[in-house]
Amino acid sequence: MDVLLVEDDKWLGQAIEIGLTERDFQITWVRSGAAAIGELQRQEYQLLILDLGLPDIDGQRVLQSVRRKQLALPVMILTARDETDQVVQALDSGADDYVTKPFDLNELAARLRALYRRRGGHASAEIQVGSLRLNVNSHEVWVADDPVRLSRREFDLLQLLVSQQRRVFSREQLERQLHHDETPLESNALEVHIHNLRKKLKHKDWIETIRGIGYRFSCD
Amino acid sequence: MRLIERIRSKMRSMRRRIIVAVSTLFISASLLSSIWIYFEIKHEVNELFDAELVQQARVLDGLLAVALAQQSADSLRQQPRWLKHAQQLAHPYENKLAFRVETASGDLLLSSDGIPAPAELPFQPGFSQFAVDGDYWYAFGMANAAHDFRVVVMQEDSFRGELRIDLAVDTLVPIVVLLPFVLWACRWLVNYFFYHFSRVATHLRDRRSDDYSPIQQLDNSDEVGAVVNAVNSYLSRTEQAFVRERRFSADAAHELRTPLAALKAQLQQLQPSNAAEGKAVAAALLSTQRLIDLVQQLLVLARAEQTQRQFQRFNLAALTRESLASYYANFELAGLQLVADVPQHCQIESDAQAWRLMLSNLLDNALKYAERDSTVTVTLRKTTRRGDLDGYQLVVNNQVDNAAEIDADRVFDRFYRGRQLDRPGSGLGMSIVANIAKQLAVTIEFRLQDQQVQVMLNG
Repeated sequence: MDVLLVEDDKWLGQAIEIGLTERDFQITWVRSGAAAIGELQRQEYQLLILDLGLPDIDGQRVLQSVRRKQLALPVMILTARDETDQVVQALDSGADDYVTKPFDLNELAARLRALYRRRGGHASAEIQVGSLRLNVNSHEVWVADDPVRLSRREFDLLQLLVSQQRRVFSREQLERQLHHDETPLESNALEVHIHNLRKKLKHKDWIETIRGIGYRFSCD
Repeated sequence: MRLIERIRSKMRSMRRRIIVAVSTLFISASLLSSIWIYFEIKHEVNELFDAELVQQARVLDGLLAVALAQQSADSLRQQPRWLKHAQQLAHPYENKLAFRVETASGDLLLSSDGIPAPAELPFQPGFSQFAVDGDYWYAFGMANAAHDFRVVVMQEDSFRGELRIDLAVDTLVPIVVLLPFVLWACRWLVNYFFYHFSRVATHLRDRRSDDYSPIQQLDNSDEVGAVVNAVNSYLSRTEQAFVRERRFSADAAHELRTPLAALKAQLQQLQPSNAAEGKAVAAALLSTQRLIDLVQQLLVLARAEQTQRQFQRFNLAALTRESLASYYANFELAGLQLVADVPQHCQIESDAQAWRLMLSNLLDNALKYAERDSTVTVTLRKTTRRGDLDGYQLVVNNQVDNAAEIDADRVFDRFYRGRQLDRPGSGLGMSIVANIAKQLAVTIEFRLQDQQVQVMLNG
């Protein structure tokens, strides 16, 4: 995977270049915004890692330039600026993901791979967790190849729970997922949907109740 | 001594000092003017009555000159008895006035009752004063050389004294009557003018510690204006100093991120060739991570102190559940059981972002320092309701295996880590919590009892 790394700090740039090369990325490293724009005009890359605090042109302007010319290039922002408004501004300007310094090289590599899969159109419409399979486009669900019929809200709830296995979601986070249309929710709607999901999936232990907090999905 | 101490303590008030000073000046001025008025009255009364004495002497001299031209002095000598009118006084003051007529050789010709004989009180021309039986008298003597006789007219001092005192009292009464009113008016005026100083003090006392906005001008007086201007100037300079100091912390922490990222990434590249090198690299990575955590916490602390708080209504119970949900897996990984007792709703008005930061620091703290395989309990209780908002108590309870090493009085100090230096952490988490709690007017309490650590937030 050809990656253009734009990082002005010599030691960090060097460490990322070596680290990502070892993790099967082909890295071209430049240390200024002007060099990055020139490099993107000269060659086609599959990913761009962009530092925002560059010495000549601000990273935001490099990003805007990239978006004007090459809409499909996935861009990962790598910066020490981590305040919410800065993250929002970078994402609104066309960045696809955001990693703040200091970071873990393994996490950076994993995020780059996920970003490439998503933006490259290779992300699968199906999610498989153990014997459970979901198609996020057709909203179909199978348990051990047996189709399971779920309502739209039940599907949304299951998709959120499955998206991050073992992560605990508070009841309010799950309720927000159910409340994407204007229809008001009953006070016990979440419990009812969880009950139905457990019944339909025929594996009551897959959705675990975390007392006083919320629920999580695991089918190890 | 106690009275002196009490007076000293009362006199610390500038208002009281002014009231006492003005009152003392007023009373002293009144007293001095009374004394001055008394002596002025005495002088004027003496002038008046001395003139009257002269007048009486001249009338008597004139009348006697006519009488002696028509009859002999002997016929006058027979008159004293006729003039002795001791039986009944026509006026109470009658015996305070007297006269005596005598020959040039000192023989008494005519006199009022009780007046000393010429032998006892020799004739003195002009004005003189003398005492008779303890009474003080004024006298005027006049000699008539043509008819060979002398006239002495006298007035007792008490005759004049009563008038002096009456006039002085009449002058003093209005001053004395007006004195309480003047003192009250003085007190009222001082209080009225000092009211704006009290308002400035109240403004400053009721301010949040991070509020450096200028105080509004409270009235148009130069004195209050000068104090308000000085305070505003001080607030502005303090704010600039705080902003500079915190911006420096934030900038320094921010600038450290890139070299730290480089250091960590470089260390992650190292491939140790033996176990000793592996151990050294692992230790270096651990130290780097601690440094990263410290820098991160410093940045959080600087931002927590810098941020202007946004107060809004929100459900603290939901926010607590979200924080607990995001930490649940970490607690499991650390071999800790996280137990939550949180109601469905707890409506409060505060800064939700600040609460997220407080909760994450409290949970982080429990995660780092709780005894392995123990239970961490987070309880949110609703307390007294105020209007449509809930009162609350949030308690994070965890067990520790080193209670003796924790100094409960220092847990909110910056960089305090007790003797747990081998554990990860910057020692800033609880300081950040305490700092935010202060900004949000939430009371925070730390308790340590029987290996149990409790952090309580009340609002």
